[in-house]
Amino acid sequence: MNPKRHTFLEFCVEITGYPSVVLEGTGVVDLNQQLLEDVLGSTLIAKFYLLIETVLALSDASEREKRIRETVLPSPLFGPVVTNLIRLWYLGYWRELPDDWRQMTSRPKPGPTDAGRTHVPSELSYIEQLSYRTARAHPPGAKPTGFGSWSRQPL
Amino acid sequence: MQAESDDQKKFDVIIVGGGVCGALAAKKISAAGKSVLLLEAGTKEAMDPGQYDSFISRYYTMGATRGSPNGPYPPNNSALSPNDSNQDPYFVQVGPQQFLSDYLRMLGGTTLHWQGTSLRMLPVDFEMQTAYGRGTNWPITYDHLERFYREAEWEIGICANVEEQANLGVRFPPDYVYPMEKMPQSLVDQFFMRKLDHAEVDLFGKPYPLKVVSMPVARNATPNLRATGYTPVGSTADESVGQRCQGNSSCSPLCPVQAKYNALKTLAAALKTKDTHLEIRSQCVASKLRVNACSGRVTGVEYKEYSVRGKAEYTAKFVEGKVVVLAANAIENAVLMLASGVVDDSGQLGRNLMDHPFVVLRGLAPEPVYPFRGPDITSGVESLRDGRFREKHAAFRAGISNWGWVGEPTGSVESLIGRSQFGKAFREQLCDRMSRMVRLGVMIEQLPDADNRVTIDPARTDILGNYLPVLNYKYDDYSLDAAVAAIRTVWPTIVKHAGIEDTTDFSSVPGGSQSVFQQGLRFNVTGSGHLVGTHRMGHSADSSVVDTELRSWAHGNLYVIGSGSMVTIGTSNPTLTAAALSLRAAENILKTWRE
Repeated sequence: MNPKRHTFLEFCVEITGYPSVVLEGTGVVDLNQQLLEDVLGSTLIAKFYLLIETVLALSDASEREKRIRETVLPSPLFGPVVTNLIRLWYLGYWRELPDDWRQMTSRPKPGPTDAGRTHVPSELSYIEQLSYRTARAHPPGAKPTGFGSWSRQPL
Repeated sequence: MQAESDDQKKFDVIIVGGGVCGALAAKKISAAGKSVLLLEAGTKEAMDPGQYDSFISRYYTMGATRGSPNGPYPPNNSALSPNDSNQDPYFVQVGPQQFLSDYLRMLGGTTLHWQGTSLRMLPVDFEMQTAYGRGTNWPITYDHLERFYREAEWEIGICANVEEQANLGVRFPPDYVYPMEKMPQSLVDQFFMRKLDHAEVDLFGKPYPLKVVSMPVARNATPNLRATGYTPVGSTADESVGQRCQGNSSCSPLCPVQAKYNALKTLAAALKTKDTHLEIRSQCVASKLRVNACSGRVTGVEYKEYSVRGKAEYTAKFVEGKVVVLAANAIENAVLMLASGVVDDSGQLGRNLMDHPFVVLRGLAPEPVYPFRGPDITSGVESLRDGRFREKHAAFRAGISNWGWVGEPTGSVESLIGRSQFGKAFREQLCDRMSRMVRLGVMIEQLPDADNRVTIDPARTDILGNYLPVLNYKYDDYSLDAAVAAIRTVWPTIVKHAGIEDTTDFSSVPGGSQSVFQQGLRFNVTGSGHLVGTHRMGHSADSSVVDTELRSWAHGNLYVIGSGSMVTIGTSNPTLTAAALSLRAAENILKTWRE
């Protein structure tokens, strides 16, 4: 198992607002982590893990929230990465990082099959996106709720 | 290149087009023992369960273009569809406005991505000139078509409530029931039914209630116990699947379980008949009708058969038929007739193209109504489908969407990201917003206008050398004034009664829409995918393309069926009327044989 899997998962709990049991239940934790590692490359991902470990080391939830708001999101280097992770979880797709981020990091422009391109990584990414679940609905064309369920309050 | 007959077989009937109208006619005519050849321009991939599943996979992973009705279906340069996911535009748009509707050229046709709404036209819709001095009267009345509406409703499989439709002015014979009970109405519908119970609007000094009525749809529901002998028809891949709508919330662009009707079901049933007389040839684009110059009779159809989807290589072929039926839709039928030099003394061929101009209104309900669940439309505000106001402006109806706002959930997620939200607060705000989204789609009647037309241009052809449709199209004051009434009078009344926060925004024009300006109001209009007119039926060869039997005035063995034959569009989605007309034409074709 990836030694940083737990770190990654716990940070995703912080940014998505969902408990780890729900994120695990999607089945895309490993896929999302692998995608992130591929996009960032070994040097940047190591820095990223160091940064989020400082967040996760805080025992108080509001302190962690504050650190993310004041340190992580405003970071020119990792802010766009974290918002992309929110997109990945909630919308099931990865958006290509902007040009100025690439210039800053010297990362190459992703090619048509590279992890960093704008794309839906897998069918599961679409099916398990958190947005519809959050609205107590389901993604169109997947996880149907059963005949007549729409006429009642969601479960 | 003059192609010779590709086989010795001469068919009783050749049908061009494998959508709902062609399929219904093919089934009925072949069941009577006549040999039928159905030519389909697109592929037959949807009939293959593995391929159908691949459309679903494509839908999941296609990202931003997912919302397009043709999105999941493989683009096909050999037989282009409007707005498919490749970059080649199909329509040549002359203007002044864009014709923003599409269709799908593939076996099964546009029923693969339709919403399934299956309203009958109102009796008065057939007599607009007499009743309101607008439009043109049909050469037949509602009562001529009523029996075929019933036949279509049972053949397609409609779930609906007779009483609710009768209250709108639709006439039924005593004791008639739809084959299935009405689709359960959504929580969103129930919200509007509660809030609009006493709501009414004033149009030209007359009050009209805003009545929420359940929607007849071609979607499997509970069989009506009073409708003996009806069994819902499941998926063509596996009949045990899709016996009920299971709430995939993706009717357009595709129903994963085919609980929603598509024309594949009718074709599959016809093919399954023992010793079937139906033959289907797909990837065969009809390019010209061959006409005997002396007799005026159509001798057969020239077509181009391509073996690889998207490639320019084809084999030119010709097949003979005693009767030829065009069922390729209002635009394709017109293109084929124009390409063939079909005689039309009326000058109406290709003219009177109609659609339902569509205006989207949206807001946030004061309480959660939990959209994004169930089939898109299970009810509508239907009480403005008729009234004296039609002397002044068009009638319209407002479908209540069960799918929240267009462009969601991306819109809300991006908005929250833009405000640096994350974690539990993000989750709570997203839930609050998405669960309260309501949207009405106002679908407006359009009058026949000779200047709204389909033409062809020898300089504009596809890779097979077939003509692209050249479209002249505009909205007139009659429709746009109705849009203004919907936006300025009806919507504010709904907003007030329901306590909705109005978030309708016409300041930018989303893709697939166009901006118009009427009575000092700027708003966005799009199309409804409803193709009507272009080969209107009528009493005389001077004023119409086909007679009341949908037979060409000039070519006695050529029938032109589907919604292109409709004289006016009314406020009902045209598929059910097109289907009824097609079944009526099929009966007439068989009657000719007996005579």
